[in-house]
Amino acid sequence: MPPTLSVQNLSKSFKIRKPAAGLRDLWHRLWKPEYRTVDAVRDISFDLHAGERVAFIGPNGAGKSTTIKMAAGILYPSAGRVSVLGLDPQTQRRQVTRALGAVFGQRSQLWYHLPAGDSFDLLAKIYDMPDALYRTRRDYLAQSFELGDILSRPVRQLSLGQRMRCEIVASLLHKPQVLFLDEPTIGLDVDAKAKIRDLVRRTADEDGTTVLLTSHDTGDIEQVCDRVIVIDNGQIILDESIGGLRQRYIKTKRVTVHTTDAPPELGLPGVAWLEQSPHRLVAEIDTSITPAGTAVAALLQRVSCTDVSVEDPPMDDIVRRIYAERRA
Amino acid sequence: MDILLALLSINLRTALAMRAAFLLRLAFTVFNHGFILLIWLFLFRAVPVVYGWTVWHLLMTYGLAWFAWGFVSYFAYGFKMLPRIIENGELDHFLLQPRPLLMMIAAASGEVAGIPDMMLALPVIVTAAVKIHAAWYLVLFALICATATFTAFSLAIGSLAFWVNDMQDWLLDMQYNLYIFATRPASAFGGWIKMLMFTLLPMGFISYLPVEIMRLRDPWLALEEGAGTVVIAALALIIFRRGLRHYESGNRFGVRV
Repeated sequence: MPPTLSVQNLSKSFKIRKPAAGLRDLWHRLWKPEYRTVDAVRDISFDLHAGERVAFIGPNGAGKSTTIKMAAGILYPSAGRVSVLGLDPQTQRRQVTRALGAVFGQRSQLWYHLPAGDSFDLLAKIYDMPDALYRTRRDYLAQSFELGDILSRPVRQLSLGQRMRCEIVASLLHKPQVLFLDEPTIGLDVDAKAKIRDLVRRTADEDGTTVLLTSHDTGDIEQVCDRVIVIDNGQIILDESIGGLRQRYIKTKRVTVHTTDAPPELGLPGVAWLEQSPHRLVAEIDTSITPAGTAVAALLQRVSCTDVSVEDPPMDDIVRRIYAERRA
Repeated sequence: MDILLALLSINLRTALAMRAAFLLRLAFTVFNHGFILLIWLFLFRAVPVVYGWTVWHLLMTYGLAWFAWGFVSYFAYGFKMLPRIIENGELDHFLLQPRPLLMMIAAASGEVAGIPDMMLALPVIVTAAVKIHAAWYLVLFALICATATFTAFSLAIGSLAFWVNDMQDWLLDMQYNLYIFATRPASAFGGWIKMLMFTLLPMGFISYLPVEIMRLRDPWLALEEGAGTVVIAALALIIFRRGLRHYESGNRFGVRV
């Protein structure tokens, strides 16, 4: 079966003007500008098959969004090729976009001053959806994503979490075969994140949608995707299953405790302080040595806290571990 | 067509959602243009003919430019705002939709002040046409060419933002300058200004030639006007298509208004 999304030897460079150093240089550069080339994406290749949910992760500036934008036909590649369902997104944009849904976390596709329902009506027209089909699909998604009366409220009055649920529904209305999610949970609280992850996974399962998701949040990756591609400095450094990533690189958890107490002696194997500020203590737990639950319970017995949170290590750490293992 | 009507209706509703701003703009449009037209009427009392043009020729050119400005403001506001759309990376939305790209950009948002502009420009054009005894088919032809030229100029100028950054205000000024120049008695211009009128700032196709066609009824001038409009439209499309390859998107936070 041919891949749903195929990326072959894809590269993208941007020409950036060099800043002037001092006034004299500023005058000189005004007439004779100098440029440097930044390689945002460097010769990457991967395939996504129908129904796969793939996390495309990496630190800031790694080339994730640039790759997605080339795959969606927004940016022209400097070299290499992308095909979506066998079509070229740049030259066959209109056919490709019929099969695409996209959410860019920092951008809205909804009209700011109008109710989200009105934006959905317009999107249905843009995608040529028959009226009856549109209404059934909208009602189904509105129910799944618990939109309720949100649909009739102007987008400007919605919370970030509500708006993001509307954004995702907007991208799913026409039942796309491929869904690009670029930081869909950025800025959301824990509850909203969990709700969105669950809904995306469920809807993609039901529709058999191929998902390519970028995120800095390891929770998004683990709860939505089955496979992970790690990109750094424009190059793919890892392509494997989520299980493999977890087993090899996400062996720790971070516990943040908000307290005014002095940091106690931990005395637990595999648990160490990472940060000791006057109001904040951060410990790292190696879960292969001490289970997270045991470590957190022990910690809470030793300090009185106002708040506690348990998180996966940040993406930068995971990338560093991948590099470290490769060098070893 | 269906989608175009839906977009225009959504623009109207967006504008009417801010009722006070809409009504204020409407009042100031009437006041502003009424005042300028009065000044021209007084000036032409002192000098009734300027290089073969009477006040009615001037009002014809004023009406054509005013209508074209209103048309772009409401039906192709996206072209007017193209520098901002490009610089803020907002073109992403349009590129992700399975519809003709230019249509989606043009009608993506609309300045409702464009509607009174068009509505008020029409009586000025009709009155001027009656006074200068212009044939109606020539008036219609001139109106189509002037509007198409202005729309194409707006697209071409806006597309320069694919290559030059941080020029939003200047590129918008260029469109406004064309409009202002097009409302002046173009018969008075000669030499290099006339050359400019048919090249960089193509107001010659918006004001000068349309009025000369009506005044002289010269088929060659009409052919020149038609050909010029087609060339400017083709150039605008080429500049936009070429520019699209340079589009860099962006990740600035933004909402759609």
